[in-house]
Amino acid sequence: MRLENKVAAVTGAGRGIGRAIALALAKDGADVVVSDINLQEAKQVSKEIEALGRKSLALKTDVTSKKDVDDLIKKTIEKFSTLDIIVSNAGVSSMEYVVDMPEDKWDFNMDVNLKGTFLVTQAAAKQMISQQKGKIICTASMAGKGGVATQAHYNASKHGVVAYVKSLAQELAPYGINVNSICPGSIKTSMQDREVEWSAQIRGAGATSESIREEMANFTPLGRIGLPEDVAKVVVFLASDDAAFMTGQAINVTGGQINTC
Amino acid sequence: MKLSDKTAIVFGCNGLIAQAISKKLSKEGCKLVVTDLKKEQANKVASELKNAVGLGVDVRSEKDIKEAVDAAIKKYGKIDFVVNCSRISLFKEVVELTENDWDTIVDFNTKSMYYIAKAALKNMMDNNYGAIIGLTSKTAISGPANLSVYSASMNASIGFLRSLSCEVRNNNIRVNAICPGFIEHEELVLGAELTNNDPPGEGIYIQFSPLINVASEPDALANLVAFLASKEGEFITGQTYSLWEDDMTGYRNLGQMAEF
Repeated sequence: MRLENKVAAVTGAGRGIGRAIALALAKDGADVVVSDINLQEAKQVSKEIEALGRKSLALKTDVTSKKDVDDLIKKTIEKFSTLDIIVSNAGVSSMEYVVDMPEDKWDFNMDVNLKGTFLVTQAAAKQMISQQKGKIICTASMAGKGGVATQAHYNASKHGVVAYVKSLAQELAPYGINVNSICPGSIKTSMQDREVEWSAQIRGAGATSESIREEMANFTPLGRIGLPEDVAKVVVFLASDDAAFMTGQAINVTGGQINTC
Repeated sequence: MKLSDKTAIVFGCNGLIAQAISKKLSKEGCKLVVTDLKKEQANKVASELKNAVGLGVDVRSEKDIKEAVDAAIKKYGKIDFVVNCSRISLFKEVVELTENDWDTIVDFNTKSMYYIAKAALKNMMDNNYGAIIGLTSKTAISGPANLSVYSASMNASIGFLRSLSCEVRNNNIRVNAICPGFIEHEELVLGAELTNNDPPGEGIYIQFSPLINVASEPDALANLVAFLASKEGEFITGQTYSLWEDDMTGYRNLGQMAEF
């Protein structure tokens, strides 16, 4: 076990990739704070972690609220005295063309995905600087590197995360803190379920959720849609000392897919 | 003249680069609307160009941007190109950044791209012709210390423009980003002003390479913009350009690279 006696906090950990990350960190020995905007789901994941024999804490966090985020770090320290690993994972998406994009959709994507990453990592960085160690991992996306129609706002937010992580890594390197991001490709989650439905509607012309899923798998050189666990394993690696000499990177976990039009 | 029957709006015309772009487009025969947060600055730039008018526009206001687009259509009948040069910067550690710093910079640099594209696209789609060019930054790719929100906003703009290029490919509208290699004095001044931080010293800017020639880069970038707008660039879209490769962003003591 690579993460014994480590304390981790994961935002957006109630479901999907975040849940898989929280469980994978726990399986490798870490105690895990499960943060989500949906407290019920966070509690459920927290129970699963305790069933693995680790300590856990479930917290309700809206990552766009500085107060909630500061509270997350404060309560983590109160219970566990340290924060070794933060995974800023909470994220949202929607789909619309730029010409018709309502401003609230722009704000929703940018605020949760990009500003939320800033608020969570800033609060964690302050704690980790005082410890002179830590691992910061942010969930970006394949959309942080390429471009795709109907998600210009989501793309903007995820590109922002990729660049932000590079800057933060430069700043925190003198304190022995590693900062990296992961860029998942097509991963089976409830976010993807929604996107598949939207894509089918937007595409029309006989497109179905099944045909969209098939297309996603076909666009992926490894020939399948990824699982949250595929991503979680890479996060555990980045959180471990195996990745001690990696910082400022944006690691693709895409099955070889490159995001394009 | 490569652009003699064309029209363009240049948003944020205050910096050296934006002024070089405005001059080059004008020299190639393009009719211009140039805007700046400060109307007098826009008027000053316009007065030095042929066929140009200046407008005061706050790019954080969708209303201001729509009015500028409407004014350009009213005056020239159409919009062929928009160039968004609106950039503000802030040299500050993440742990010191306030929410207001973050929001102000992301809105000014990135949300402006969304407002401008949304406002200009309708006319461009009607004409089945257009080019959108965003001035971003080399820091979008490299991510230096103490420029986190600036770098994030610039790469966010690139992400937005990449997606947009996919959306308007069939409308004969091209979307590209260019990445200057230094942060202009004017960006730091306006960034500090709008976020209520201490202003930079007189003439201070930030460069990322010992080799960059700040005196010549604005003209070189302006040539690139004119090329992307012209017929010669009509098959180029979704691209991100900088002018040179070397970059000292990862240098441990960036402070020595910055002209502070």
